[in-house]
Amino acid sequence: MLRTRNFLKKLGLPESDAHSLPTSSRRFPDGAQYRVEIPNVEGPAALEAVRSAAQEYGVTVHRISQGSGIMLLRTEEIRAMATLGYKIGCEVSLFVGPRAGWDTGAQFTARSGRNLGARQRGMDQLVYALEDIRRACSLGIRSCWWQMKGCCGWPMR
Amino acid sequence: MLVADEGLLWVAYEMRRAGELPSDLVFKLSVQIGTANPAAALVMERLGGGTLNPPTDLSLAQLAAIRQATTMPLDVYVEAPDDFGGFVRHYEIAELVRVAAPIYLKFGLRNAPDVYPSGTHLEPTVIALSRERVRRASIGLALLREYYPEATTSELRANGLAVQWYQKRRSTMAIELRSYVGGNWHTGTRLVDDINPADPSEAVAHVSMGNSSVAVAAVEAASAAFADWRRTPAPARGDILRKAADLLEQRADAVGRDLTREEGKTLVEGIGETKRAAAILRYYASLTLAADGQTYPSLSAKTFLFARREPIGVVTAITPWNFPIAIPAWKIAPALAYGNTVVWKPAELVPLTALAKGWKLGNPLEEGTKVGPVVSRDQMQTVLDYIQIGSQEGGRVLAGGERARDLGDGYYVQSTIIADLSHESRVAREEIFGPVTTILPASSYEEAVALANDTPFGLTASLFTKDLTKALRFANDIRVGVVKINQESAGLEFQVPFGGAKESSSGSREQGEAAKEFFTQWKTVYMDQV
Repeated sequence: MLRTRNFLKKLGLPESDAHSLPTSSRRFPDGAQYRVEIPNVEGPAALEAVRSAAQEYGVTVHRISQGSGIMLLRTEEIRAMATLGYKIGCEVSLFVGPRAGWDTGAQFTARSGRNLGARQRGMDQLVYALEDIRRACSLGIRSCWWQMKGCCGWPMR
Repeated sequence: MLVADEGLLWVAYEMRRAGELPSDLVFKLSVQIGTANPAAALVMERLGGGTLNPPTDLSLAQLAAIRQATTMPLDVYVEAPDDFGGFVRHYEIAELVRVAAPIYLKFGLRNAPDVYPSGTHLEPTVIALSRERVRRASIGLALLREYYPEATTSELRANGLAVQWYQKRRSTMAIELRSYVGGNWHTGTRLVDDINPADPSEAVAHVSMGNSSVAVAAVEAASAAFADWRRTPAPARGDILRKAADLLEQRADAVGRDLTREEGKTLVEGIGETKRAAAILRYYASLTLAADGQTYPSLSAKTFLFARREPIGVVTAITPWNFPIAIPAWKIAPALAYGNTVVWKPAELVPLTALAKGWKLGNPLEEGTKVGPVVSRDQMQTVLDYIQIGSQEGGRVLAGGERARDLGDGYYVQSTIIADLSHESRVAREEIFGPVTTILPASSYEEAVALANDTPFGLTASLFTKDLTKALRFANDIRVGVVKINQESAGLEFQVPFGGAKESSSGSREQGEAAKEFFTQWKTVYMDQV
């Protein structure tokens, strides 16, 4: 095991989990240790609700994220979110679509397959996803979100 | 486990590098299964990830190890919805921040799974849940302040590229452009950004693109205005043009700067072109005092016979991007001066100018820059394609030949000189609209002229010589509309006719008094004494 740990060390990786819980010396570019994100902010009305609640509770919200996907937002909604995000100084992170759930596969609906729901399946869907990113960028968004494997509760509730 | 979505990340990363996506686009990765260890996190960072969202239920020691491997900010639920495993870390926040910084603390709701896709029927629920998440965040952050009071956080507006980008975009955005028709601003159906080619992240303006209904409205408005404008005495029309010239000159610095930002022409050229446009307006204002007809001796003793030039009607000016204010001025000013009304459709883009080996390539707003960016990403690709075609056709690139990547994401192409090409090669014969020139050797004056004439085009040509005889011969032999001796082929004065030969012109001329031919028509009047 020591041999393997030494090899990983040569790759620049830690040799084990950091059980001593060392204090991280890394920071955001402005020197900060943490920022606050509110997820599942699905549209401009929800973002406005976050803004007013943040004011009410004295919480600084640095980023909001949205999970429905860029393609399920209308142009005006995306613009409104980008504009409000700018006004309140909050990064707006949108999910990229379409994902497996729009495709023909059934695996993601299985109990063990839920985490696969956020994949891009096939080359066409990959192209659609990239176009989704282009669209968001053209409307002022600079933060896009996608999952590698996981599923942020993506199936419809 | 690493399949399609890693592909998306990789391709998007490559597109960002190639300028296909904004350079400041942040990729946030949510890797609930795939990136649960430091090695996988490192791979994701190397693929271009900007923020890593690891599994919600990793232990602090595991997160601390990931932190050692990657510089990406982590994005960790401190209270995750049930379908994430419902992990709650409220009392761990202080340790989480200490060992995993920089970190986004994400507040879901343990007992209320995320709701998406959403939709208007769910909006009240989403709003209520969003408020509740913020309330829970206030509780979690209170614990953080209690147990780790020295923890530092970001000020708003310093929190990331998205905001910085948007601030930049807003602060530099002068106007939102729409179509001005009959005294009213009209919104089109499509909104596009007018991009600064030197810095594609900057939108100079938002442009509401006119559509066919706007065009129809513009023609109708111009038609309706024609009768009154035609009746307006020519000197009065000249006064209006003169006033426009004064306003344009007063604003020449600002207008020239906008021109440079949207087109890439250097600032000196941008301001110079704007002042040129003002001069053109004044020139045609002065011509409104010139004779507008002539008298003829009639065969009849009682007939007063004369003919005068009259306006044509509604003129549509569709102008290109290479001289975005001078060319419109030299069309619109004479059209108005001679009593026409005008519908102007400006170019969606705007241009690029000269190029030469050794000239400084750079930000067109900076002093000393001789060559700015090309006008758009598409045009940049066109220019690069031509350079490649030149190489494939046997050309030898003596200088430049590539995109100038050391100038950031701007659409800069190195000033390029290609030799060893046939005069029949595409690069030698077609108009590239980029900083690319070819060298075609000729063994005699006659051969050089034959090469220059062997093209379907004939707009301008220039010859550098101290031989006056050769200069006069060249002016005679070359088949173009404008000849320059010891001057570059661009750059025109407005009081003389301008136009091309062969396929470079419709056969007509504009500018100078030639514009009168173009924008007016004769009317002959026979008037008998009674």
